[in-house]
Amino acid sequence: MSSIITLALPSKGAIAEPTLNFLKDCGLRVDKPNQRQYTGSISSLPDVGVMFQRVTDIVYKVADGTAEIGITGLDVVRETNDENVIVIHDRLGFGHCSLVVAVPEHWVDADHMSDLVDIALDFREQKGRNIRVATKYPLLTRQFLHSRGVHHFTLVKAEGAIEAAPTLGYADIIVDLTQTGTTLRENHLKIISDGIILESQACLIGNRAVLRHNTIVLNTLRTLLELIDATQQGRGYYQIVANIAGSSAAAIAEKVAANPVTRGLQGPTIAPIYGLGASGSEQWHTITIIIPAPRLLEAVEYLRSIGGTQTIVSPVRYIFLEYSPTFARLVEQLAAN
Amino acid sequence: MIPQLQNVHQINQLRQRLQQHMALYGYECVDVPILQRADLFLIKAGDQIANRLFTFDQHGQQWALRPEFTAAAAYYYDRADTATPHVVRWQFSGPVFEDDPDAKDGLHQRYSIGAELIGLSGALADAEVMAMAMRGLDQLGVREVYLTIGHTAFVRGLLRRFDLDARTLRFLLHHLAALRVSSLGQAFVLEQFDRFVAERSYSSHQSDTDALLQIDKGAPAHFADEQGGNSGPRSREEIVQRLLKRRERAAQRPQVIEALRLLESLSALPSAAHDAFSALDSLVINDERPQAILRDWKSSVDYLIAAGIDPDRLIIQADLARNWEYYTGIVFEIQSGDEHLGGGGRYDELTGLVGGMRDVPAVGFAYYVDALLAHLPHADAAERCLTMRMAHEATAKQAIIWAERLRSLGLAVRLERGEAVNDGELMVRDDGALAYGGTIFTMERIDSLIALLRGSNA
Repeated sequence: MSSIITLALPSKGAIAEPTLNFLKDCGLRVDKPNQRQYTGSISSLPDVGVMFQRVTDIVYKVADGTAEIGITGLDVVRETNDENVIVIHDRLGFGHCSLVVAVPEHWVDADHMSDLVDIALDFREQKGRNIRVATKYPLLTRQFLHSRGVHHFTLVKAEGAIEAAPTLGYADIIVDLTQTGTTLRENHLKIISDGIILESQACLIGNRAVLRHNTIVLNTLRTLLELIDATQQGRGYYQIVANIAGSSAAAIAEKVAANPVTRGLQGPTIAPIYGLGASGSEQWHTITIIIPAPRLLEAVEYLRSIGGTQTIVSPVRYIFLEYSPTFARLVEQLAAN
Repeated sequence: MIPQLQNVHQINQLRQRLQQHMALYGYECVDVPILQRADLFLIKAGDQIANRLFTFDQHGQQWALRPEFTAAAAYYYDRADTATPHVVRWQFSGPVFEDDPDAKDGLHQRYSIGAELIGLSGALADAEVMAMAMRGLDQLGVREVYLTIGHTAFVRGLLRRFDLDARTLRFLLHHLAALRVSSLGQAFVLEQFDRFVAERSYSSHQSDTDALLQIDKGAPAHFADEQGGNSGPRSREEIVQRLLKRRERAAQRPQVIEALRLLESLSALPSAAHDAFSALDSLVINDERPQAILRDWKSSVDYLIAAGIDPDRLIIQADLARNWEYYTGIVFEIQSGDEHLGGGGRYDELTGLVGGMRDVPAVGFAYYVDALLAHLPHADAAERCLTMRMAHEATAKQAIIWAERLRSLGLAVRLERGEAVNDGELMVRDDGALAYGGTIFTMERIDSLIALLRGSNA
């Protein structure tokens, strides 16, 4: 690979396809010449090469510098807890799931972690053994249980269908990822209400040492982050173009800006329309504003109420701010460490 | 740099001096394996130890790096080849390990020096260990050291009058420290208690009564079916029992409030021994068991004073919050200013719990060596190593002869090339004599040199 940066992406699993879709939305379409190959490229960023790995291996590849950056699940990053890895962006907006403590649903006396403190002591006193917790996340589980006062437990490291562990009898409770809770329910488990260890989603990680010392890599990464930030920024907005008649641009601007929803990011852009007649002293103008997506209909209604017509709404692909907030945060983090 | 390299000499010196000191009380130096089965530390471990134990799995067994010496001492005492109970006085020194995410410099290893007196009960044994711990620091020249003494059995004895269930008692003892924090106090602990016994579930809006009914109706049928009638690790009866227990605990709220008032009043008691014991006496007028404990406690303090510990250096704090799982009697902390230099207590149940057939009286303590090193007077920081210089190789042989002679007389010497850079260095001259502090010494005058060097080292 002759690229400056290698980006490790998930080869399979729940976030593999969403990762490619996310990058495509950011204008970073990943080309994979052959489905059986584990490399790819991004034509809009020729300096970035792509390597496909399992989500857990992505953290290791970034930690040892084989890949400078990678996209994987925050749960895996936190569990691996490798100091060589820095989380550059922890909210890519897909692959949402929660790492939770779940107990058999027939434990009707267990709703809170304080119940588990009590039950864990019952296990020691009445059964002469620790409560057994099946999980793929021993580090996060251990930290969480101790922090909630459950100190006496035995971790059962498991792969595969963790949720079956209590039914099969090799664990008493589990700590596992869940998206909707359906699989847990199907296995007669329930989530402890304050037993949410981590709200996870896909994140962008990097090799701390490389980012700190290699400015060429950092600059290439900046381009990537500009596109990600601008895409995420734009995702929550619509651009509205509408025609409004008024005595002057200033008079129209006053009406449009009177409502906070149609004020736009800075204020409306207004241009006269030539060749379209209006009544009396009024002249037609085109206004352009950017509004938050959830308030679209409210904005359209208001524009109608002040004489707006022929309203055109377009999704905003990118909003580039004066700088990339994620890149700024990264530079701060690298300097602080 | 190798971590703690600069402390090696200090630690060795400290260990030697404390070993000699404890040997004067008849404590024999012993060692226990660094690597042990994790069960040994977890079986009666307080929450703090369980939380920070370094463990790993190997050969289907969970192993741990020792976090302290006491559990291992109890274990090996029990395995000693003797039919009758016997008394041992053991002292330990060596690295202990703690999985502490906030550890200074990221180090999870620290040095510990301590002692255990196993097989002897009563005030005499308690006083012996406390006096030895305090005297050790006096010997080292550590200043303004004071001893805070509490008593877990006394506090438990006081709380017996409220007839609380064991889990509620545990809850209160674990929240003792919060009572002394002005921003938390009784209101905070009571709020935690209400959550601890809360009947109504926050999530499912199901009361304990509903839950009991649900169990009564035979739910969840699927589980019994899938398990062939086996309801898993917790039987229905156990779940029902816990719900009922929780209800009983909730009904004890008035007693809990009374108990909290009593515990909070302990923190307001005077700390000087005479006044403190008078105040504690008034709390146990009609309560025989705490009275007996208090008598024993007073005796231990009398013995401490007889051992030469100034009463002004003693602080009585009944609710001193150390590990409530672990200790069964007296507990103590040794401090200088705000710095904790050591601590310990009585743990009569540990030997039985680590596999023994019986409980054995035992009391012990440990010095916190890292904190102690920072409090050592400067003269103890490091014995000086003399630098002996030679201007050129021709004097090397003579320099070696001088150096070996000085070493044989107990002085540390290192050889360096080049001219002496200050008066504190020894310089081997071309004629084989040694220059030091502006005076020339031949081998015949070595006694004068030694006297001068020892004087400047003092």
